[in-house]
Amino acid sequence: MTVRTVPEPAQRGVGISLIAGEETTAIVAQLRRTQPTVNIVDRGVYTKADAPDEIVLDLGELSQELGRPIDVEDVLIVVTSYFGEIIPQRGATPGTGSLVLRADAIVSGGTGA
Amino acid sequence: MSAPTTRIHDLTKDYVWNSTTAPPAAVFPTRYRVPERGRDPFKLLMRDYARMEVEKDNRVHQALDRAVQLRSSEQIEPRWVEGLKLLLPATAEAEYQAMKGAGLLISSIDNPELQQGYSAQALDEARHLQLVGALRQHYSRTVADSQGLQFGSRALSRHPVGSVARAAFAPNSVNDPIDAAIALNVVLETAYTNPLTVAIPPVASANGDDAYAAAYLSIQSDEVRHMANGHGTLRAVAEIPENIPLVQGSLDRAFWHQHQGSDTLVGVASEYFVRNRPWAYRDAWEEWVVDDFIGSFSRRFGPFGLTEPARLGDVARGLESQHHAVAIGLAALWPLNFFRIDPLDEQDFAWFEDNYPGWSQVYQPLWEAYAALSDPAGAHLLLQELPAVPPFCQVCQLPCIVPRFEAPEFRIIEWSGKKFALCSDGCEANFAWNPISYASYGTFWGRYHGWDLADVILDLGFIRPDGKTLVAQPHLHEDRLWTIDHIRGLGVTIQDPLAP
Repeated sequence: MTVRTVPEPAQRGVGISLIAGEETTAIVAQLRRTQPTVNIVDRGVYTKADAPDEIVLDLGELSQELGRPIDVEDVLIVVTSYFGEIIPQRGATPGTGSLVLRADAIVSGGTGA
Repeated sequence: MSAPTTRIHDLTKDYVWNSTTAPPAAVFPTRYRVPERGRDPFKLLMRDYARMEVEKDNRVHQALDRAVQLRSSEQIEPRWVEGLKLLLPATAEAEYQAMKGAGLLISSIDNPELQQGYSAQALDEARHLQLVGALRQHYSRTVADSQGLQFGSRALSRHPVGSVARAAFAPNSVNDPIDAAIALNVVLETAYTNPLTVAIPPVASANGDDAYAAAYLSIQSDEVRHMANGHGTLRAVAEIPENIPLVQGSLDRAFWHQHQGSDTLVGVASEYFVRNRPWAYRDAWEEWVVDDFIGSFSRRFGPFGLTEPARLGDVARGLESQHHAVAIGLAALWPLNFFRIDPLDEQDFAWFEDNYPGWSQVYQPLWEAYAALSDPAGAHLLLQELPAVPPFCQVCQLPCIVPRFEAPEFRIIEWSGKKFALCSDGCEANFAWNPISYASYGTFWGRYHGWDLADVILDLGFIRPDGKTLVAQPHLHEDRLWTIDHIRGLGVTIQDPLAP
């Protein structure tokens, strides 16, 4: 059995890992509701979500769900890892904006992929 | 209405000034051209950073308080406690070198946006050191056998394999600043902190330790910004084509060295110091390093002409066997440890053979011999069965029994009139890149050549409070403990395999 060195699946372009807790429960519920194609794996103390192109966390919706304003920094408290490009979009008022994770384009003939 | 946070962040970048006196000479001048612009995607202000970190710390310390109140440490698998004695100081070393590395980058990179990101990182690394210290104190007060935890980072400099951590993390702070950023923020933070601090917490939890999971996942939540710092720096540097060959060489060297240290440490800790194994390390490595790191790196930096690390195939080959070789090496050298190693049993043998086919043929007889010699009444060590002790690699400091115990690939070279052992092609290439930085490091066997093993242990100080019982033991029983008298009675003399 040889250890694999080629990334797979190639369409898994973006991902985020979240520490277990109330924020993560709300984020998972939001992802299941708004982005059902995101793959979500619960590993007990953390949850990992990945997708081909993009994951968007809507802070306004999370604020409503949790009953308090959730800013980018409140989400970063529970973000324990990511891959792809992370793009914080702060809102004009507390509890608004979004945290976007976006995959870079696949390089044709690129390395490993 | 207050100004948007990003606008305030832009303004802070103007708070820079040029010194009217000549700047001090760079400690480590860079070979790279570094552009003045760069990007920190988080655009974090200190007020928001402080609020976030206070909340993180509160959550970790609440978890530790809860663990004390519920006496959770009584439920921790004893094997895992022994692994923590090695893992905690190794992590502390990583954090210490990272803190120094962030300082190096702040002072070396003339780019206000990246400097702000690295400033937060330097504070993060100090926080991580404090958290690892808090965890060490927590276990010291609550586990049944805390002997060994008290040595902390001192143990690493004394223990023969502890030097592996020092060697792996030193290039993160003692280096060309861009090479340090590649080693620290790109390879360690983006690829290798994930196995160490995201994949291991479920292992800790499966073995009854939720305190470790709470602290290390919180530590890793800071690494998210450090990964972005690495990407920002690498992207800025990669935009200048003449930098690309330098970046590629740096990436190749750092990836190899980090593999030697981190893959071995995580593999040994997560498979040999537990009873419950939620995953095999080779599978965790494929997910976190190959899929997430290599996959993402290729997409992002392939267009700049960068390719996957040169020795990725050799690294993957090592994943099949290297940590197994080092685990039995640690067991064979057990009197020199500051932790105990429990012999494997039939259940362990079955798991290893299922997950690493062929393991039983090489390693099961060695572990059976180790178990058979665990009673001091037997008056014999597995170490005495070896024709000679293996030399330690001058680069990665692993014993030269890798990547396979039964088929090591080390070579002895001469440089500047002295002999050095190198465990592999990868370490030989790193040595050739900068021999002076490696050649000055003394070897464990060289330090103790001609000493009685009992005197070596006394010099290391790994003795329990009664002044005679070893901290290390080849089992987890409360009786049949080895003392310094047992060891002296064996008459084992250390022979440096590189001695003239």
